[in-house]
Amino acid sequence: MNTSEHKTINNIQQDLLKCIRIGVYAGIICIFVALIGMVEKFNSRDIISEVISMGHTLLVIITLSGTILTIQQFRQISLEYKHSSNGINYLWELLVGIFTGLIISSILAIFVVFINEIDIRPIFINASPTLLTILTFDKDIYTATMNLLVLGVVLGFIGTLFLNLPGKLRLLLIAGISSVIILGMFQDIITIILSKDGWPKILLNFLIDKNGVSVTASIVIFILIVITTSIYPYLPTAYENTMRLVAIYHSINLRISMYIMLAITLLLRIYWFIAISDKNLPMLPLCREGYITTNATLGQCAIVVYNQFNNVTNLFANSTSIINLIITISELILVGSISYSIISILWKSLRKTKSYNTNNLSELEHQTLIIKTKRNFSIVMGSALLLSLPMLLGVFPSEVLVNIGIYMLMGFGLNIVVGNAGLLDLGHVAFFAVGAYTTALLTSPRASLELGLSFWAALPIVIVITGLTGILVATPVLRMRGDYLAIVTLGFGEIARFLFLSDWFKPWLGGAQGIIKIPPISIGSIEFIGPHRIYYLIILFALIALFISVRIKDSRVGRAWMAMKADEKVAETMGINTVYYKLLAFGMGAMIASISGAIFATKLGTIFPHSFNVLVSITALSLIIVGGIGNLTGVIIGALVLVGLPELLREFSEFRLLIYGTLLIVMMLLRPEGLVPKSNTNTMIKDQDLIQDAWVENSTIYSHVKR
Amino acid sequence: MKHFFECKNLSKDFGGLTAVNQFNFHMKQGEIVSIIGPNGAGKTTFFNLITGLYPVTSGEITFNGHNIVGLSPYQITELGIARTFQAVRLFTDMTILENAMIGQHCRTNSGVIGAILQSSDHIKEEEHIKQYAKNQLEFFGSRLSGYRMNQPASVLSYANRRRLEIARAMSTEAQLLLLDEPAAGMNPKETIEIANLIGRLRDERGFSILVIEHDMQVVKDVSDHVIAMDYGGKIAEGDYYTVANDDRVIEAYLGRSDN
Repeated sequence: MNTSEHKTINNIQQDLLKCIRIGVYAGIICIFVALIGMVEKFNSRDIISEVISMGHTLLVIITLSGTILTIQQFRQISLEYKHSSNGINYLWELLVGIFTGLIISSILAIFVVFINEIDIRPIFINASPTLLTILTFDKDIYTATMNLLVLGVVLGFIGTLFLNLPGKLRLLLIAGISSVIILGMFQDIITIILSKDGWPKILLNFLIDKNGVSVTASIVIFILIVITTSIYPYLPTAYENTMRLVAIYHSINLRISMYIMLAITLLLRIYWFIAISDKNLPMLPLCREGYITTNATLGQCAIVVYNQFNNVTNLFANSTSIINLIITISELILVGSISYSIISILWKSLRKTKSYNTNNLSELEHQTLIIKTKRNFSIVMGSALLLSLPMLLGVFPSEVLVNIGIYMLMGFGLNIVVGNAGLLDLGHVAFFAVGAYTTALLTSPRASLELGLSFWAALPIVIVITGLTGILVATPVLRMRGDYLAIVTLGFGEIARFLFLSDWFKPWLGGAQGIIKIPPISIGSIEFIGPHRIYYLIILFALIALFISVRIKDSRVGRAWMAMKADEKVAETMGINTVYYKLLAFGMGAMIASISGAIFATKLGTIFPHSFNVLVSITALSLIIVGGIGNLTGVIIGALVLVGLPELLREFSEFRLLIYGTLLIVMMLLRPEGLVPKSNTNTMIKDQDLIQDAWVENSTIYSHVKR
Repeated sequence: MKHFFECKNLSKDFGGLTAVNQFNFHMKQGEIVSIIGPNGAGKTTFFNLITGLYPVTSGEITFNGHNIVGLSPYQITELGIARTFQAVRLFTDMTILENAMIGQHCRTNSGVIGAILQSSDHIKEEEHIKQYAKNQLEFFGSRLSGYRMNQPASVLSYANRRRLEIARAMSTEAQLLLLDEPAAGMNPKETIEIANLIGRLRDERGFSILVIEHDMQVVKDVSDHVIAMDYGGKIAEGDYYTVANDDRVIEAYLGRSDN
């Protein structure tokens, strides 16, 4: 009894030390972000208009995380010592939480008093009066300090409370709050999208107030997200049931009709492309785009009706895009169902008796049917979304999408080298650059070769040349692995850039001036100018690269790469020619990167050596690592996160690398296998294995051992 | 007369150390030959020389009439020699079936283009590889086949990893298997099973087998022929009883008696 009491007291001292330490860290981080100007910069935007600014949110998040970390630490220690009863434990936790909050806020308060008294601006340029106003909430220094301390206590309390909430409720809260914060962070891009001609103004006015998300909108969104999250567990079942119904009622070859639907959509989009370039062609109602007013009958009627309605209510303005979208979707459904019924009739008449009666289907067949239906459904919906994205989003977001696509394409190439074959390549930008330069040389009429080939004629040459470059680079590094390979390839990447920059090649490659007047890609009379058209090219090539990657991964070649990645020596004794497969990996990776480079060159129209610095390679490699090495979904998600986010948060570009670095560190700590890790049930299966072995040993297998 | 497998005056120096010294050896097709010897006798180095992992200092190795000295490991595997490793070296990220399928790599030749286009040849070959690999896995009964085939190799227990390594070597369609201490780390039951297995490999699948083994019971059970090595050279050769009773072998293992 005595000893345990003793332990508890000891323990409390330890806990206090721990919370003090974490609290001090969090306080220092608060001061750090204030001093580098993050708080001030972030404060120019409100998360929720007139309620809380981004700067304050940042400080609150840091304080809350500090408190939560402390309490988690506290819990770990309590587990080791086993506190007497739960009630006391809660009390302790509350105490620890409040104490931590108090420490953080008092550090901040000391800082506030300090910069109030002493002007440190000559050293820390960001410790400005504005910062002081932000931190003191525009009150006098005494009240402000008190306020901060009280806030610290409140935040500590909230943090503790939050951790003690039941898991479900906590999840709902996190989802709701973080979606409001995310909305606030992306308010710029949302404003850009929604102020595009065609989206209803009311939506924008509702969502975004003067300087942030409006109060009503944040409440509505919070509630919506909470509702969605709470019914989320039931959604898969609902989806399954819907798909089951679809599968039952449409059990005739659904796939074909779906694909035909898709083909029609695609054709219409292509037609839209031609029609906006060639004014002589009529714009079909089926391929309307938001900001192009059409003289098509169906759409026109709808717009007229809508405008009437609009005049009466005077609520909405200029919602043609939404209307058109709705019309397009309904037209799609119309076309889809018409083609579907035609095909099903044809199908039935062709195979008279073979209409599935679902009652006769075995459970397995039924399941496969449902899986098929699901797949077709997601293919159709996914491609419809992919095809209409640039029309919905407008020019700037499409530009971001194109950048994401370029990196994604390069990522697919690098994934073959790093993810499949296990060769750590830090110089992938070299292949990207070779692709871009070769394209420029071949297509630009102003380049030294003066060839002026069309993109499509140049592309095969570009791919072959870059592939050969890949093999050339790989040859001297065949014996290297891991870190050594990374350093050497890093060197190669830089060598490539310096060669393009050098005076030596200036007559051919233009030195620092680069190559200008690279014509845009064109098919017939359609020119791919502007992000919302290049987008389609990128999508096309990314899908091809994805397709190739998937096919190769599950083939003999993919297996050879995987074996080589796992153990080179063993792979070689199992009959794999490692030299050949290394060269192949580098060659293929380079080829895919070259396509990315080629599109990059035609997109910009001009290329300079400095576009191909080492940061490009690093970004490509990090997007693979962040997504999860060797994982194709990971490449896509990695590109969205690592390329998309910085583009969208351009406003805070000063702190881009800081946020980037923090994100990477946090991710490596929390999810070292990447955002999309491979499913890992090893330990569980291993137990099964041992059990099975024991079973086999005790059974008949030994009865015929000859001895 | 040409031997199925033969080494003449094979030597390997690591700087000043002679790991294999003027080693002469030959075996007939369909034989099971055991190599014994104390640690550091040069047994595994001998295997590494055969499979091309180490370059040969001098001497020659012929297999089926081909001189294999100087060939790359993968070329030697193509000629029909496959091995397992003393410390199990599986491709743990790959599934059990894929591990076995790797063995078929050197017997097939579909490439990137075939894989992308899914040509009929490619599909047929892929199916063949899968069937062949499954066939090899089924040799081990239910331990490696069935539902387990699509699980990663890292889930396997130690003994099953050894079995899978043998299956992987089997699926290279080799004529000569080199097994490096197949019974190391196994419990007595598993050891009996391994001995049984080595016999089955020869009787049912027609492999010639060269096996390094420390467990004398296994050596006694399986070998047609035993070779004892020490200091990189051959110190005794013959059937089990001859070698086991050879003075130099006893000396190598136990030291010289003082009389």
